Amino acid sequence: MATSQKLNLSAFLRPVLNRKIRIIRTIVQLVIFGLLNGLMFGLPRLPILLPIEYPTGAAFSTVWNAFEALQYALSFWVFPYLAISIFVLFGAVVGKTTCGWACPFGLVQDLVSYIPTKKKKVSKPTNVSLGKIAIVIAGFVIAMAAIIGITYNRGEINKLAFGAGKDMPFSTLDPSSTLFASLYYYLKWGLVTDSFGAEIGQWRFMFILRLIIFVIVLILIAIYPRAYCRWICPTGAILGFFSKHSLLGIQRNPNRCVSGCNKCEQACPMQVPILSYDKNIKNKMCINCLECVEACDEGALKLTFRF
Amino acid sequence: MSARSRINLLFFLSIGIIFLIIAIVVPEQMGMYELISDFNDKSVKDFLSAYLNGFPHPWS
Ligand code: SF4
Ligand code: SF4
Ligand code: SF4
Repeated sequence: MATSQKLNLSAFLRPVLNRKIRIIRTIVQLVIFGLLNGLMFGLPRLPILLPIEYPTGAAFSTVWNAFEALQYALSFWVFPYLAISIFVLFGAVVGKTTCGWACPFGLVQDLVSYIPTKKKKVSKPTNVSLGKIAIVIAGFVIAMAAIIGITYNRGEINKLAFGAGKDMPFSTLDPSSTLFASLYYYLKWGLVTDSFGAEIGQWRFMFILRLIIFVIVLILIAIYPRAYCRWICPTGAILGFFSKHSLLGIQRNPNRCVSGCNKCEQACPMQVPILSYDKNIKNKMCINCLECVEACDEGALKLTFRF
Repeated sequence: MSARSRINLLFFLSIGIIFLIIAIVVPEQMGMYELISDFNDKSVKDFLSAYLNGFPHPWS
């Protein structure tokens, strides 16, 4: 009797135990999301930059978004030493671990991926090619911020010609700012002060464009897990540039990986071609989420410092 | 880790540390850092325009 109860219990707990890394990761993501919104609990704003997609101007944000700080400095014609050092140091030491464990928009994408829609994958070469879109976006935004900076350098007033994008061009459109800042402020100031119907007629082009982009990204990530991280996010693209040879990363033990079962690659949300690496997984898309480690029954994969 | 990866890593680490020191030491950079530290509700309104572009009646 006792044995059968034990069996029942272990059968009941098996799905939880099998997914314990993912559960721990989700808890860590939620706790960090709480800390990032620390103003809500009386924490102060901190002079800290993090390479994550969370708008600095979100109502309760405690830290700066490093990519916004980079644009902000450039748009005032100040070389962004601090923002670059944050990207380089995070990327070189912990790789894109912040993407897997701390970024609120990464958390949103993980939560959306739990929606039971039919998930699709693209081919490995397509995944790499689409990843270049993010690099182009990052390059374009940095160039734009530098042009604004040059304009500012010629006369402070000239900068105003760039309108709302004068300080941080990317933040005028990015879906993370739409979700965590724009929609919040709209609900706080827009909806509350007037009736919704009256407001709709006065919606302007950029606000609608923001919402359209946000909905498109939402649909995209519901079909292709972490699609925004893989193909669009400039923060991820810049971090990826420095994370390829990061100190902390995934290592594969070829002696243990005898079956070549491919479960790790199937589980990887970033579609990293894990088996194409002999030992160290040196891929700029890897976010150290440990989904592959959890999927490998042979214990052939581990997260480790690899110097 | 291969020698190439190690060189790459050490190069990035040194760049990161040098840039961090410059950001803390150079006066112009300190100004930007102070601005980042002082970022508060007073300065937030202008800064928010990036998120509220096209936003109907933000402060009405
Ligand atoms: S790549 Fe994804 S997880 Fe990383 S900063 Fe961008 S949105 Fe966040
Ligand atoms: S290789 Fe492993 S740790 Fe890296 S993104 Fe894929 S599943 Fe996550
Ligand atoms: S899941 Fe483990 S055993 Fe299977 S292919 Fe991947 S590393 Fe090898």
